[in-house]
Amino acid sequence: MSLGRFQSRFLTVARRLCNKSGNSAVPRFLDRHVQALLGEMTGVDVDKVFSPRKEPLRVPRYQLMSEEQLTKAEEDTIERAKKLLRMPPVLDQRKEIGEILEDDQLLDGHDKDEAKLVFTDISLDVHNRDRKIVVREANGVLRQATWGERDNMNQIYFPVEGRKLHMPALFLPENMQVVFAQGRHEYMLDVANIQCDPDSEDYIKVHHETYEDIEKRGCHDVLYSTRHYGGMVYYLVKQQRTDKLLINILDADRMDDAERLIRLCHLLHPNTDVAIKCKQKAVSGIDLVEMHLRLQGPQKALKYFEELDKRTEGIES
Amino acid sequence: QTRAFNMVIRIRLALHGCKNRPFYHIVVANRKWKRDGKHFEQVGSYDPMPNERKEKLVALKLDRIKYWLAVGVQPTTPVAKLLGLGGILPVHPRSYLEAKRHREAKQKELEDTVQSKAEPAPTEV
Repeated sequence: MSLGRFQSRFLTVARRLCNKSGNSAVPRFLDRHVQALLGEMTGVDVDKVFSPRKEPLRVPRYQLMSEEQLTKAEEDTIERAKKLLRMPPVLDQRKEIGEILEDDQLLDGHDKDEAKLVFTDISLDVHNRDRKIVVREANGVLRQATWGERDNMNQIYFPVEGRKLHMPALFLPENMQVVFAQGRHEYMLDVANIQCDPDSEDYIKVHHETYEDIEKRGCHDVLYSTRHYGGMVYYLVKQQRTDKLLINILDADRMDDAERLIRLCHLLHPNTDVAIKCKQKAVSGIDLVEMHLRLQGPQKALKYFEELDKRTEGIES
Repeated sequence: QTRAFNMVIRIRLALHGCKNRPFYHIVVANRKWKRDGKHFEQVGSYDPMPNERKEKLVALKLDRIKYWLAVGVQPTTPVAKLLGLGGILPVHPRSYLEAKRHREAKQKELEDTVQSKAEPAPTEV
């Protein structure tokens, strides 16, 4: 599974689509500050990223290394892991195309089988997104193909490895529940990423369902150190539902990530009371987290700070 | 002008596929060459059998087809009909004619079924 190619495909799609206008005051997913925070929060757990998968059998290679070579190899591994952890873009759902090019009623019944004719331009120098795909209906109407038809045609003539022509049964609600119960949220999102474009209805729906299930179960760690973590955090922060996530992060003792989460909240919701007050006081680090919790955050989370104070008192005394 | 219709090079359909399963390649070839044989290049495909979504798929390499048409290569009637229905060339008069004939045949079929229902059922002996 060549993740690198899919990621570059997503980024091309994203760059083309995110040049559209939005509320310019509030940064969106691809803003570099947002990306920096999300990227650092994702974390790099080399053991998780390179966990054993089904691969073709290979003869194992053994190498004799010096200390320096070993250190360099470890650094290279982290770099490779970071490449695999690049986030797929979060986009708004694409708008349906319905443009009718020609309505020729004299052509009604031109096809004996009453089937539509789908014309696809298979010129090689055209991007799949720009490809001209038109449909001549049996009643003579010539129209642009719908997104569903476009995806189908692109997959038939320019297949993407791992993508199916029909929607996988995995995306049916009952099957999704089974997979979530097994804790395979990452797998569900990987399948969605291969199968659909990031702005398609199914992709967004599957991703949102997965995030909702994770939020319900409180198992945000499942996506930690995967490329889906950023998307999940962004989704929750956008809806200002960060309580469970914050507790999850504090549970795992990741103070820096807690601070980054708060920073992200204030970045995406700059007009809330908390954000304004924290900016006025110009706090940072653990103080920022504490101030946010005292003003807004879940009260249960404050117990971590009490423990921290106790520990520091213990050390000082 | 009339010479163009006797042009040696054509855009035409080459029949591939299997028994009872036709599949056409849209191909630029010399008239004299075999239907399924040597050609300059393949510029598309046409599947005459509707799939499960009731679609007949036509793939066209538009940049190459435009080139050959610009040079003066003539499409054969089936290809011209396809290009007409696809919006690349004007709709072929045959398409209008066939559409009209199908509509009339369907209308006649409807009238026949209505008439046969209106007739009294044969009495039993």
